[in-house]
Amino acid sequence: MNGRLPSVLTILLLALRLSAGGQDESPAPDYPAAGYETDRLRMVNGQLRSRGIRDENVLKAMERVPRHLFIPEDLRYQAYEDHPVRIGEGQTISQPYIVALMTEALTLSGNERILEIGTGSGYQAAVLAEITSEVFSIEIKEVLAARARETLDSLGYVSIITKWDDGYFGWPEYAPFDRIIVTAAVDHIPPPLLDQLADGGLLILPLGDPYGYQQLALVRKKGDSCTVRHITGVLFVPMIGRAEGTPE
Amino acid sequence: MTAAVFTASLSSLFYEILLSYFFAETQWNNLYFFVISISLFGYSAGGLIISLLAARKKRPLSLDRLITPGTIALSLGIPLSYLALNSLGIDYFRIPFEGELILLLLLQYCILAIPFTAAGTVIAAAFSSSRKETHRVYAGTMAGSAAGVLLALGIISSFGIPAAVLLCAVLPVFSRCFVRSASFIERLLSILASAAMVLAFFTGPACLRPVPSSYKPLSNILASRGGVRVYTENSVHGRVDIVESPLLRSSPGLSLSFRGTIPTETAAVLNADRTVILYNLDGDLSFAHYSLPAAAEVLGRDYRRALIIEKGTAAAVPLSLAYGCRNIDILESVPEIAEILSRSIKIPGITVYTHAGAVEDGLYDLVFPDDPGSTLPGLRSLDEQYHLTTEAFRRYVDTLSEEGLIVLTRHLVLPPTDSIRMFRTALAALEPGGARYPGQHIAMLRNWNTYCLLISKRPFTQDECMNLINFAEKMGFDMVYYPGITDNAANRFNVFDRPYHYEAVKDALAGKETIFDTRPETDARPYVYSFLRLKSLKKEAAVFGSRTHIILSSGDVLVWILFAVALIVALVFLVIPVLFISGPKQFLRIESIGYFSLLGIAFMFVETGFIKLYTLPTGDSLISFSLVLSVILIASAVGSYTGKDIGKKGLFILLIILGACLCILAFAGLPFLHILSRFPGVFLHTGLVILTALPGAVMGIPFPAALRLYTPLPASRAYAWAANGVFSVLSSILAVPVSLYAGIPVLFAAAGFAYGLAAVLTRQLSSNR
Repeated sequence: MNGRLPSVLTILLLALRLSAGGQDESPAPDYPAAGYETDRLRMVNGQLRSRGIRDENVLKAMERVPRHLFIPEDLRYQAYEDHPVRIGEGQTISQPYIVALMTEALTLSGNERILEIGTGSGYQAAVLAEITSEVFSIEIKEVLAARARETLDSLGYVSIITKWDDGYFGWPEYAPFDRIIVTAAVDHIPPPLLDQLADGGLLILPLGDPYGYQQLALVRKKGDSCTVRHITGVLFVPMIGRAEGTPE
Repeated sequence: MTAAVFTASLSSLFYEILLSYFFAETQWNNLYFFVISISLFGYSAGGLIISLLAARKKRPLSLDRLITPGTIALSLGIPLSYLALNSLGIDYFRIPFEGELILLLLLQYCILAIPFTAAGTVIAAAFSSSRKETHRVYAGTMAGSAAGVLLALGIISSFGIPAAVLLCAVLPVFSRCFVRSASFIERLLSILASAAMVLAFFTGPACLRPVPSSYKPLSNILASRGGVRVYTENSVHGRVDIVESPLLRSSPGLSLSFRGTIPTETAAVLNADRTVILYNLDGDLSFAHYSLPAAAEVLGRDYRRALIIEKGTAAAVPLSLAYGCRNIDILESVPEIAEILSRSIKIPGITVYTHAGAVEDGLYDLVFPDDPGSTLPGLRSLDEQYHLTTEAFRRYVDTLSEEGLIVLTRHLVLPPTDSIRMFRTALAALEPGGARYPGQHIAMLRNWNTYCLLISKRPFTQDECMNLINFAEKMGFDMVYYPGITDNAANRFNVFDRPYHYEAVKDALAGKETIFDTRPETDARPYVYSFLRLKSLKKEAAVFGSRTHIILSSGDVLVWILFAVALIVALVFLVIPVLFISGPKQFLRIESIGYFSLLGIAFMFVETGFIKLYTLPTGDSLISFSLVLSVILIASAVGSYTGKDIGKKGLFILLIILGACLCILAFAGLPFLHILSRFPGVFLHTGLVILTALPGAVMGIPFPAALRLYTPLPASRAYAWAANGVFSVLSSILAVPVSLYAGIPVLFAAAGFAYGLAAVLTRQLSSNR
């Protein structure tokens, strides 16, 4: 029976380590700015071009925007890695490839008025602002809205108009929008967003079970009807506010 | 001694049932097979402890001295292991793709086995202490186990799981107060411990309340803003929560052109999972005309009477009303949900039934098998879904009037699996009913996340197909199939890279083989969410690309992980005794080990087979689990007692007859259940009890008889117990993939074969002596 003891102890120790939060939380290394630039180029070539992102406007925009500055300092070393990164308040900055894929799917020529639902870190809005001039962005979390505004201002993205509000209802004052991008999962298309989408406009969103997996869907409005094109399976954090049931 | 064995068995079986209810509430499956495996592992560990103690001492041990510490360990082990289980909070369907959880699972397995090990020690000590009383002890074990099942059902359904944990823990220690040989201190401690637990029983400590997986619907509803639990009630089917939330707005396949509101905000949630929406039917039901099932409405047929086979959200109730039905029969197998639906729906003409016997053939214009399915189908692959098999579809077709229509609305998934299986099931169900061209009776539409399958008693006309096309165009839905569909009619409004569903339907009609298993399921293999083919796993993984989690989260994968955990434990428990026992190994005869191992395999295959079969008439695997466990153990107890004088020849003949009967049951079991299902509750349950009790009683004889006839030493008897337990541990889990891939009847046939082999081994045992 003694032979079992070491293995049981090992399991117990492992369990204790896991229950104490076994994830890698090593502190951010002191990293030079030039290193981030190299990482960014590597990200564009290794994660975006190689996976089929072809829109040069999107690739250049993501080459220019310093993604690491939109991420909390202690996690900046993960900024250009191929996965989402936590930004606080239970939210994440999307994986670079998904940002590129969603932006490319919007087929931007540079003259569109865009509404973003879910500012988050402000990174997606900055990428959009590199391509087109009129970007509006709504964030429901006050802390994130303020932090994103600060980051965008510090980087000179003053033309991006942001507000702290429930994005479910869109921004009727500036409607119609040529493009709408929703960066949180929702199980239906919010009717106010469809109403505020211009005829012929495009809306991209993660559509499906907010607490499971979703399909990245591109909705094209044609008069009173719509078509939905499915792009790929994704996993986004749920949209909160009215989308999860807050009374109007 | 028999009293101690009775109480230990009672508490351990009580705990076994309780754990199954716990898993039903917190996980995606009640995992009864896993619970059985853990308990049997505990029993085998207890047998092993006694085996080691008996073998290492030169002088005979008074093993009955282990009964008191074993009883105390059982009483302490139950609440402590439960607390560990609840606080570890493992989501079982994350295990396959979060490797570290496997270690936690192993830890959890061992912790949960502690009380069962304590019970096993008590029982094995009693077995080893007296050879003459083997049958009495065995009868005490089985009777205690059966009583434990019945008590568990009563307490869980009346007071809930936290109270049941405490009562289950207090019983063994409290029973020590009445033992004549117990000392004053022992009695005092027993009374104090019992008093503490009774106090906790009434205070209902929060730490004992089960915490459902954060991915379960109840967790999501309560986490949403405005989500509140109105009240909770316990039942034999599990916990029912009545909740309110603005999140509750179920409307299957709603068109994007709908701009109104859906009148829903209250739901009854069964076991934190199945969410039955209690629609405000006085409100605006216009959403029903914008839903995919409204395709039935645009056909222009006259619908008066509807039948709803309720296994889902009750969304078919407002739909039936909106499409003109004034007589609606709802068939809901869970009485508590049926009661809630009856209270909530106060419209004349709507009746809720709990028994299939109420349904008449040829009566209904609309039949809704109301089950929305799953967005991750593999998650449910271990569940028996008898309401979606070919036989079930045939019954639905039989209930239709000449103009009648079956409307099935479910989640759409990619790659196409569930929708194609349902399509093929419809084809298979129509053929024997005389449909010359079954494809002429079927139509399918979809939007971005839902599909709707229409199955008509008579072929669709051209006009009706035209109506469907126009309806789809107006609502922005896509036609997946209608008689005469052309390539350019598919994938127009909800656009995938390719018209995957349309192509898959075309392949199904052409009888082509698919990568995923989308063959129609039958009652013999009612696993409609099981799509993986072991032989083409690589191809399947390639289809999902980087989204391998969809495959990994499948129950098919989970069951093999659980089997691997059990296998590791079983190997350790077979090898260790050989290493530690010195001296002559006269009780380690291969025939003896083989015999008791075969009995373990056969018993568990029959038990699991019955549980799976009875989910058909009972509609709930928790109920069939409890029913089978209690009946089979009572019957085994009776059998073991009546067969106490059986000789070697008698045992041989009995094993041969038992094996033959089980092989017959493999073929005749399902048809018999179909006949039985037509009878009302009392007759049905009596029939089930008799069907289980007959083989159960005979299955109770071979184990104690062989202990008496072929194991003369205490150590050999304990080791036989351990070998039997270890193989039971494995086969209780192995029975799941066997039924999943080969079908439930195969379990009975395999068990019959195992008993036949055991009969042959008794010949060997007799000749070797």
